[in-house]
Amino acid sequence: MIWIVTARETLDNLMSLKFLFGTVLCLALVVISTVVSLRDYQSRMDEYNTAVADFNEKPDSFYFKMYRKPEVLSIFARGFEKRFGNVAGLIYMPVQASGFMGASEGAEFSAEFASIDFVFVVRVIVSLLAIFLAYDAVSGEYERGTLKLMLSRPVPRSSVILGKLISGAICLLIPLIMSFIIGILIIQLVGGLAFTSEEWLRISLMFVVTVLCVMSFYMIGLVVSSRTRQASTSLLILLLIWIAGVFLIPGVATSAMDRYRRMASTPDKDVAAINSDFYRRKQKGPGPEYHPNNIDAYAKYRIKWDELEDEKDRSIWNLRKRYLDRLYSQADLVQWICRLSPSESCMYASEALARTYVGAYRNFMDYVRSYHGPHREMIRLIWKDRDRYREETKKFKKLIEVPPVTFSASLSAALPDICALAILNVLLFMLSVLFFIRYDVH
Amino acid sequence: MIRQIAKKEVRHNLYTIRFPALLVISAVLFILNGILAVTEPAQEEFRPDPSTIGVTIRREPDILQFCARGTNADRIQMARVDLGGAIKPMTMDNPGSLPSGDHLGNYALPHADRIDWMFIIKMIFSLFAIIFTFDTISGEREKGTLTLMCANSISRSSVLLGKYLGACGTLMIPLMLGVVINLLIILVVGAIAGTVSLQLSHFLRMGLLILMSIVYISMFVLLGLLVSTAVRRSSTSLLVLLAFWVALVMVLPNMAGIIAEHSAKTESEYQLSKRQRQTWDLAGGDELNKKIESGKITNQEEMDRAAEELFTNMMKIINNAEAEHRSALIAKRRLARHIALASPAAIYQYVGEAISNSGFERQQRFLRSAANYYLVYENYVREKVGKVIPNCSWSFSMSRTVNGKSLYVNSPRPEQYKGDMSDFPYFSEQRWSTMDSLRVSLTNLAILFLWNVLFFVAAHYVFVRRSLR
Repeated sequence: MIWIVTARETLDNLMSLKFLFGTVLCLALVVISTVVSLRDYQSRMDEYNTAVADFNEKPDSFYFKMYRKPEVLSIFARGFEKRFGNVAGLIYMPVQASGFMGASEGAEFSAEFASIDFVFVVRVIVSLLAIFLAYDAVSGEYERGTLKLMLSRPVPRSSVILGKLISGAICLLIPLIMSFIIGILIIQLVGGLAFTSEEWLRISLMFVVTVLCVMSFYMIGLVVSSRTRQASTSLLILLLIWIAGVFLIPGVATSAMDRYRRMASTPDKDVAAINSDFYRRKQKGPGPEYHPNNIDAYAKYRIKWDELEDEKDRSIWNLRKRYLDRLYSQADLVQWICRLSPSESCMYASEALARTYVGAYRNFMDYVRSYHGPHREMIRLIWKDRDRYREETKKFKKLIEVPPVTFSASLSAALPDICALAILNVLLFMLSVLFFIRYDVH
Repeated sequence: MIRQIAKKEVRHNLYTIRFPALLVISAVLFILNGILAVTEPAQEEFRPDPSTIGVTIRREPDILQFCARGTNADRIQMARVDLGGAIKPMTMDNPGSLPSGDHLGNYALPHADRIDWMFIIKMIFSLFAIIFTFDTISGEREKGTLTLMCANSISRSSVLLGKYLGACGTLMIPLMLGVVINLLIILVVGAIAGTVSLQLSHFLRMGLLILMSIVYISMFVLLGLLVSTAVRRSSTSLLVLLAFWVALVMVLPNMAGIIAEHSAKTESEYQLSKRQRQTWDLAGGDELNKKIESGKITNQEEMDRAAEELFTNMMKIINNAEAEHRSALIAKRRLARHIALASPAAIYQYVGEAISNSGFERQQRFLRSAANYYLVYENYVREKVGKVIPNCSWSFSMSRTVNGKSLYVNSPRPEQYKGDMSDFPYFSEQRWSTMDSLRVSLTNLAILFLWNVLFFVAAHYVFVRRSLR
């Protein structure tokens, strides 16, 4: 019996205008965004390769640089991939990643124009489609009077609601699966890129996340639909929920947290004070000028001040680190609030899986920073021990590749969001069954 | 008669669930916006130390940022004006060099639309304009009351006009209520805490903004009427309208970004710095060698002078390259913004930014002001120090053998003037009057009006010709 309900519902939905509309819009956006993001990725990759070739051709151990490799999965979820620099220089403290490789439009651009990627399409378009499919599933049948007819036959109510759920899942899986297949085909055939097995795993997990997100919107629709009598009321309520999930929760969370946990202020004033204090002290006891004739005296002077400078830079870094930690903890708090919304959870989880979340950037910076000490040590050797300096320089004469975020790190970053989505799904499933069983058909 | 229909329409709307829903949402958001506006810490007085090397400048605070914030990146408050003419905005998305203004927020947060008037009206009110109108005609047709109404001695045009005025009127109630609550919070709490002080010109701007908002909302009301007349069933009408809404408000503006990114390729920072490096490496050695070979340099003094000239020229090339790069980025963003004009939501956003003097164009005005200021500043430095040597992180040191003697040169550094600098010219931003706002947004206003007229004419045409059953 349950299959008859499912088949009827599915057919009903597949034939509807809304399904056609939603699917066409979704696929069109996916095609456009994949083609554009693919080209963008390729140009960034070209530039990465140029940068690496430039380095290999003329390795500079003094102005040593490390490069962040473009992430192929950013085609699916762009996230923070293009917001931050991807060239980090080791010479200054703190380590900076200010340079941009690739067709970077600059941070200002991406702040104004959201990227239309898979996550955007799922969050905005497919979730809306889910609501459209679900809003009249119960209340609409009630209005048309078909609910009474159906339930007067020997069908358990649980089969009816299960049938509706399954048919909803089928109808929503069609655009989702098609989007993923089209996206992957474009990437592989047009772009000629091949995924590693780990990337396949990541993509399939991203798919699961998007399914969970879309299904939670569908089931919210069922729940609301079985609590209302009129389809139009149910649609109105659902639209409000959709607006809340997609815009209001992230908007309010970011705006409010920005104020509530406001950054007292950047440490720049303190940093400037430490710096100016240091240079004042340095100017007070001017050392010998560099000249080939008095290298020894100059070296002695440099060694003394280099040590003091290291100490100064360590204290500056501590100030900055404290500030950066506060920034990240604020971002974490916003993320926790955003887990109220399935679409936001979906975004965070997909970005973590695509290695384009803010943690990937952190990972890169931490790795670069781990080379900062050794690199400085090497530079300082110039004045201490020329032979060892030449020896140490060799370490920085070859490119150091930054290892990408591991799968387990990605997963542990995505896990809270995946769990939030899963719990929401289970909860909504139980609620939708419960409310439908209690639905008064009279 | 029109008034009667409008009144009936308003009364009818007031009793449906959508009205209290909008009322609550709008009130909550406007209150939140007010609270956020008054808790914004006041900016400290900013006075840079007078210096003849370079100077940090800050733009005037945005009083009306609670109306239209613009993106975070466009709210960059400070810029560094270096001797040599390089003007560098102190960006926030570069965690390496965090600027010392604490109004820029957190770069680790995803870009979400912040709660300002623009957000509330652009997103929420436009959506509700659709929700209020999707069944005005199609619903009456379904209920059969449309034939009854038109059986009376009223023209169809007045029915349409009445419905239009009714829907607009209903939407104005929550809007005005929200704005009043918002301003009350800002005026009362802001006056007590002393955080926000509004002047007459600000009220004028806000009045303009509200006027604009009415035009914007009315456009969506007319769109709703058009679809509602053209489509027989209310549910189909809502579906079509929501598709339009998603396309106009969500997809088109962001699509513009993708198209611009695709069509206008800009040189990356890596390429830029590579090019600069090459100029530096090539020009540096060669020029100096040529001069030595031609016998123009014979002693240390001449060597120093040559180095100074060389450095100034090289810096000119490097700064020009950087300025070119930046203007290419700006051109690309302008292109994206022009493409986005296809969406009325973007038009409304730009007009809002122009009126409240915020956003991208404001940022550009600030930087242009800074460029003008640099000319004054350079003159001042030339007057005090006598010469202008670019200040930058690039430097060289080389030795050359001339006439058997080894001469050693370092790149010159600008000189800090030690004397009295009480006549230092401080930066002040060029004024941006309400008239300027209006002048700039006139074209956009016209486009928004055209959308209105277009939808009204279309709705009228369809309604007059369509059968009522």
